[in-house]
Amino acid sequence: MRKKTDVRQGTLGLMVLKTLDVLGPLHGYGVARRIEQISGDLLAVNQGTLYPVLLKLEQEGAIASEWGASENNRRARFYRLTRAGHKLLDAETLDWEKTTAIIARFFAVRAEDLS
Amino acid sequence: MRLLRRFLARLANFATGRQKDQRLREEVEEHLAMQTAENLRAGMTPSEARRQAVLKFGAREAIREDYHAEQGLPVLENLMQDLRFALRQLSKSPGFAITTVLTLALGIGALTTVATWTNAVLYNPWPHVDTPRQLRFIDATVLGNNGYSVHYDQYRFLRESGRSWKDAAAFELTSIDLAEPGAQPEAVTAGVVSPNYFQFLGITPQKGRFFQLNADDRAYGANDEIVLSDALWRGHFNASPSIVGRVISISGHPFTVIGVAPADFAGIYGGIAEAAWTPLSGLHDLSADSAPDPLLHYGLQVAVRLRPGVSSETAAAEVHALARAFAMRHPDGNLAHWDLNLRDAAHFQRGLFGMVGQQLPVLFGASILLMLLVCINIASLLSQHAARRRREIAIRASLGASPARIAAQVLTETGLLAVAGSLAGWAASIGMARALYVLLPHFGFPLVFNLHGDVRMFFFIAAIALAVTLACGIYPVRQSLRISQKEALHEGGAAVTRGASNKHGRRILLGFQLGICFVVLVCCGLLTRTALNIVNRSTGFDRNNCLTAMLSLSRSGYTEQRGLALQVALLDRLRTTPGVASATLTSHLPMGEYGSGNTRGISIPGYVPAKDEDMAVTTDFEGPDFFHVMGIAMRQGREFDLRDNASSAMVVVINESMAHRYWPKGGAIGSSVIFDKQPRRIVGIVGDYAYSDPANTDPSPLLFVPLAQHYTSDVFVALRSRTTPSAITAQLRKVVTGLDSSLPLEEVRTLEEVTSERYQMSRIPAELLGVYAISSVLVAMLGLYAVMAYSVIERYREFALRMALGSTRAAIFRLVLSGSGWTAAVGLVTGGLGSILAVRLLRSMLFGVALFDPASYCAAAALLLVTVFLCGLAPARRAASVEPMEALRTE
Repeated sequence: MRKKTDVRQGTLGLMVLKTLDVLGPLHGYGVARRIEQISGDLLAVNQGTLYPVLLKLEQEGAIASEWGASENNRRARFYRLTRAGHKLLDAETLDWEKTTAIIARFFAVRAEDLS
Repeated sequence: MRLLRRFLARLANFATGRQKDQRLREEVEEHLAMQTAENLRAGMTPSEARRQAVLKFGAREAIREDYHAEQGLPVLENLMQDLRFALRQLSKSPGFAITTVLTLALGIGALTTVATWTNAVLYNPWPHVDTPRQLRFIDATVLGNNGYSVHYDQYRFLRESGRSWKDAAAFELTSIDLAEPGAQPEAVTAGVVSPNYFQFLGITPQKGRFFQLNADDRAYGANDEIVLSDALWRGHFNASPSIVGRVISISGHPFTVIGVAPADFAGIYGGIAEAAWTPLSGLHDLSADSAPDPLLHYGLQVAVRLRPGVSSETAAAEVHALARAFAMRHPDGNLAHWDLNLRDAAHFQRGLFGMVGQQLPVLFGASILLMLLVCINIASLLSQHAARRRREIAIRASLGASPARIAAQVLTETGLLAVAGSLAGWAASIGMARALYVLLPHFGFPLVFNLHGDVRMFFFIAAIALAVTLACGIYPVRQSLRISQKEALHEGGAAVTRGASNKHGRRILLGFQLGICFVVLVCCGLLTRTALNIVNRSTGFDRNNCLTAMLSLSRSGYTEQRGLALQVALLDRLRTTPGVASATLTSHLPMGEYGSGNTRGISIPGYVPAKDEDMAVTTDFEGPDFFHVMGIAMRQGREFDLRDNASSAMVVVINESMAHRYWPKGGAIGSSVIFDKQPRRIVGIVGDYAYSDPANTDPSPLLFVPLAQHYTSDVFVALRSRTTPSAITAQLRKVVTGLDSSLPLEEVRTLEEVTSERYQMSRIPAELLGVYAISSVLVAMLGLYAVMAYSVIERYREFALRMALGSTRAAIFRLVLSGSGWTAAVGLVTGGLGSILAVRLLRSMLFGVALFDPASYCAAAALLLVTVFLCGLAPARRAASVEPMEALRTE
């Protein structure tokens, strides 16, 4: 149970970092929408679960946040990537690519290749 | 790194109690507003747009929980919550909380006190000494008597030949007169030590230096140096910074102060505080009439420092072997039949550590029993507490509290009580440990023990607190969990008599408690009978109405000739002093500490010693009329009188044991004993009397020599008063001052005071165990009363029903009391069995009382039954006063 959340949170965290990297400072709703848009309906995540992840990243120092005004002039909390966050994103991206590459290789292998 | 940062942020949030609740709420609100706006744009109705936004967001409470869990430290928060809750619970029932904490404090205080004493005599007796646990002590056994000091030549032999130890040092207590010019001399307790003493102990001076290593101990007077203790330096010399190098007068000789020992170092003579130290070579100049080679007749204490990895057994075997080897080399000497023993601090007979060490096993046993009693009590109080809260626990369980959370809650409460009890017990033990100074006889010496707690003590107490929490918590935890699983909410429908199995469990627990009490009471009874037997035993001399005082003539500058003249003149004057019935002098007061146990080699014409028989007897030197003044019975012949002087025929008196040993067929009177190479005629035989230990049933042979025929410089004056001893104190002082105004009169005490120290020692076990017995009975009473009172409340409806069905009040009263009767029966059976095992530990401490002394057992049983009856009385009366209609209506 716990393990599963951890994994999802980790993935979600990476998505958050990438989103902020691409789009620059953004409020929680914006991050949520962006993740939704990119993943389509494939990722059935409640939007609210994002907030504990944002807090976790902030407490780790990967992102920072401050109050600002949104597009339609509402008060919103904007999150931005810190320098540590950039580094983290780079590291995680590399990690992710390695993992996917390995997994992809496993999937590419056919039975006759091993004989 | 990231994890650390996250943990620190969480810790900071936890510590500052900062809540980001407001921020989350605002963000969520903002989020929902944006989503709603988006949905509106997509063409939804306003209410539908809002609904969809909320749905998409997810369970808001769950997210808030997650957010909080992320923010702080949930484990700590739960703990804090439990602590707050426990504090609230306890403050709601202060009686319960205070009772529990005080009971625990009693148990833990007792255990900690005994641990402090153990630490003080065994593990860390001398905080300044380097690894004191490597130290062992050596004493001698002579003629089967233990605790003799070691001869200087033996010490040298041990130091040079021993392989089990790195080094050895010698030391002995002495009393020195510190005289400032123009001031009255002040007698202080000092140590005469081998020059390596301080280096051996690993001590560095706070000022100046210590003695030169390897100085010749027999180069008397070459190094008349003195090291001061911190206390003496501050007390006597006002902490003078220029003390090092100053020459002070000790017993009339100039000694140079070469250093000051570190604060709190007071020597290693088992609890007796030394104020200064001089080297062995200073021995000659500490008295006016020293023999040319004082070390020839000087007993020393010897300490060795074991090499790492060498066991006590190996070292002890080597000590015995070296003692034999020494005897082989000196077959004709006095030391030929001496055996040497290795001791640790708690078994070393010199000083007071041995005395404390002897009591420790019994005290530890009693403390553990008391602690067990306390734990059982607390467990039963806590389980009652939990039972009273069954409704609350049931509600918590039904609202979703996990068993782990409920257990944690109960354990937190127990832990809180345990910590509070431990702290209170610790605080109490600091005071209780100091009781050692009051309990122990001090023989006129200043005492010092290391009663400071250290880290080990802290861990010891923490371990106890943890053990108590677990031991006392497990029962109520089990009970709470059972409650939470059962349908405890509908209590109204519960059976009239609830939990028969529970009742039996409780009764057995209570019975067990009473059993422990019984064991402690029996032990206390046996030890009390022992002490009484010793006190009531005939000593063979008259302790009452006798005034004594000591004169140290050689320290005051008297040579043999002048000293002898003074002794004669003193007795002459005292005899004619008004109020004085009779007067004498002696080298050793019966049952006194000073001057006891000097053995001399003798030979007896016509007596052929067996192989390996040591011809040495304990010898005292007595003034005229000694036996008459002391009330010691003359069996045959005459006593010493004024005719026995240096120019008359040499005579001795012996005791009955000596007469029986060497003249089993009689005829001792008129025979002679060769002592100091001179034949002396036996002129009298006296009855055996208690020489030192009032409990000794095997009197040793004693030889008495007239003081006038064998000069002794340190003597006691003993006076029988016509009225009371205090009435002639002033006269004694006047007479002594009249003879020599600068001669100090030391240790002016009655013979009763002198001897009471010996009795004090035999009383200590009974007194200490008495304290435990009283505590145990009180704790058991408390537990018994609480359980009985509670069970009566619990069975209210049962009693009401019985009464409504025609039971009389007397019958209810009997019913409740018979319940406690059963408990008492269980207690007597378990206690009886327990004491059969426990009293065996006491065997060596008993005197004149059987291991299964019926009186002690009956008294303990009677006391226990009375206790149970008293505890049952009030609850039984309460049960009998139930108003059936009222009790049944309240349900």
